[in-house]
Order: sequence, then C-alpha cells, then structure tokens
Amino acid sequence: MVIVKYLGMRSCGAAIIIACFLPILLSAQEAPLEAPPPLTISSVDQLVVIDRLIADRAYLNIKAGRPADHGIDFALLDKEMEKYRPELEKFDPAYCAVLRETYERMKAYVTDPNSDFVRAVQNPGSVEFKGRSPLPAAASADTRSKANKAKPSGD
Amino acid sequence: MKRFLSTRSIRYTALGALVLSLLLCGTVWAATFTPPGGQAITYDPRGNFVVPILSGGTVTDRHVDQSFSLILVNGYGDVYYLNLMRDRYNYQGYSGYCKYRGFALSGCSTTGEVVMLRMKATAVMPEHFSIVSTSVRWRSTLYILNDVFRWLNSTTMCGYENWYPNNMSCSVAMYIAEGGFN
Repeated sequence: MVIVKYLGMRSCGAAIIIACFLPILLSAQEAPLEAPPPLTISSVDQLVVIDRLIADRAYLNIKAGRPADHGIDFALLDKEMEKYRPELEKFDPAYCAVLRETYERMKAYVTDPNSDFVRAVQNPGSVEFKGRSPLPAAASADTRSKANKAKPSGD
Repeated sequence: MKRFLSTRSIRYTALGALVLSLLLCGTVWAATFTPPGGQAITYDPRGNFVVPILSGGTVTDRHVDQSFSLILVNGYGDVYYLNLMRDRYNYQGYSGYCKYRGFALSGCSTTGEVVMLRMKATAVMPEHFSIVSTSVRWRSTLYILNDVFRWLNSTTMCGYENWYPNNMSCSVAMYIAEGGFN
C-alpha cells in the first residue's frame, strides 16, 4: 500500500514536471524545415525598412546554408518599390533617392557570394564595416563582441 | 536514500519545479516592440547599461537605470531613451541615452548620449525631428550620428542618417516604442 502510494506520488510529480517543461521542450524542437516564402513588400511601412528585410532574410539564408539571395526576387521588389513611389514622393521626394541608395547597397551585398556581408555572417567579426553595419540586429551582437577585441586602427 | 525518496521530498521537488517553471515562463525580462513590417526589438525600459561620457579628454562611465518619458527605436534595432528637457511653443528639446545594435565599427561604444530636437509644425513646414547621438571610439574619439526624420504615417517616422567622421549616410525608420511626445 505504501509502495502504491509512493509510486502514485512519484508519477504525479513526474507528470507535473513534464507538464511544466513540455511547452519549453516542444518550442525548442521547432526547426524551420523549409525555406520561407519569397520576400515581398505589402505596405509603405515595409518599404521604408526594405534593406533591413533583405538583411534579415539573407542572414537566415546564409545561416541555413542557402545562397544569401535565395527567395529574394529583386525584379519583384523593384516593381513593388515603384508601386509605392508616388506615396513616398508625396511624403518627401528626396527620401526616395536615399532609400533607393540604401536598397541598392544591400542588394549588392546579398547578390555577391563573396561580399563583406556574406563573409561577416559566415565568420562573425572578420569584416569591419565603416559606420552603420548592414548586418541585421540578430547578427551584430556576435560581430561586435569580436570586433571590439581588435587592435585600435589609430583614427 | 530513503529520506531522499520520501513522499514529502518528491512533493517538494515537484512544487519547486512548478515554481521554477512559472518563474522562467512568466518573468518579464524586458519589453518588446515590433515595428510594422519589421523584426521584434527587445529592450530594457530603464536602460540598465553603461554609457561612456567623454569630457575634457577623459572618459567616465555612467550606469543608466532610470525611467524615461519617451523610448524610440529605429529599423536597425537601436533604442533611444529620452526625457523632455525644454518645452517651447514651437520646439522641444529632449536628452537621454541610446543603445546601438546596428553598429560594427571596432572599438566604438555600443551606447551613447543623445539629444533630440522636435520642431513643431508651422504653416510652411511639417513637424520634424533631429537626433544627435554619440559613440566613444577607443575611449578617446567621439563619433557622431545625426538622424533627421518626420512622420510618414501614424506609426512610422522616416528620414536620413549621417555619420561623422565617416562619410556615410543611409535611410532610417523610427518608431515610438514607449511613452510619447508631451
């Protein structure tokens, strides 16, 4: 009787522990099995951070062993940029030019497999960007911690 | 061994595991803001970071742990912690600190000081903002970032960013993560 009671309590304890940690275990085991859908722009809010969206996608691609520009159709993105151009020009005609410049810089980074962006993701800290880093926030922490250990460049 | 496997010990262990699990799952470690169409940005509303202050050729470290009336984030994940310092009928001055994420220049501090001007709308000019933020490089050189931006719609502000001494500029999107303009 004591054994039955003891075993009952033990099972109950184990059940509580499993119930508590099961969601954590399940979420930890979730892994992206397929490549995400092609990158698209569905609002002007997304358009103003288009370079960040490309950076985020390219970062995930490189980490998953895919080409950096996998699932990024620049012809499609160009069309979508044109779609929102009147709205942006109404806001500020000059802004379109600087946004385009930022976008083209990012495009050049992800379409070149040997670019500083690709090398920086593959080997964090190996590339020093002068000024604003094109890497997404998820990657910059690793890069920063390594880069800060480098020798002063003297400027 | 017998004491270790007693019903009471097992009960306490189970209770402990339950409490620990609730603590791990339920504790709010930091606030999160998700810009429209962007990635979630996590930040501590009180800062809780050290800022190097360069003054008179020497650097002193200041630990930031206070409340702020306005917290802005940009598309790069940088967080600006601000308090209103001057309130005039046609402009406002804010100051505070920032924590950078989109920043990879070696030796540059990833935190800095910030001042912001809010120019209120006039008949000939819409409301716009100018931020100057700093980063101390190798604890000796001051880097300056300047952001000028204005409202694109009710949630997003966007504009331009420029760096000194680097000859570099780019577009920037800004959002209110917490608080607001007085």
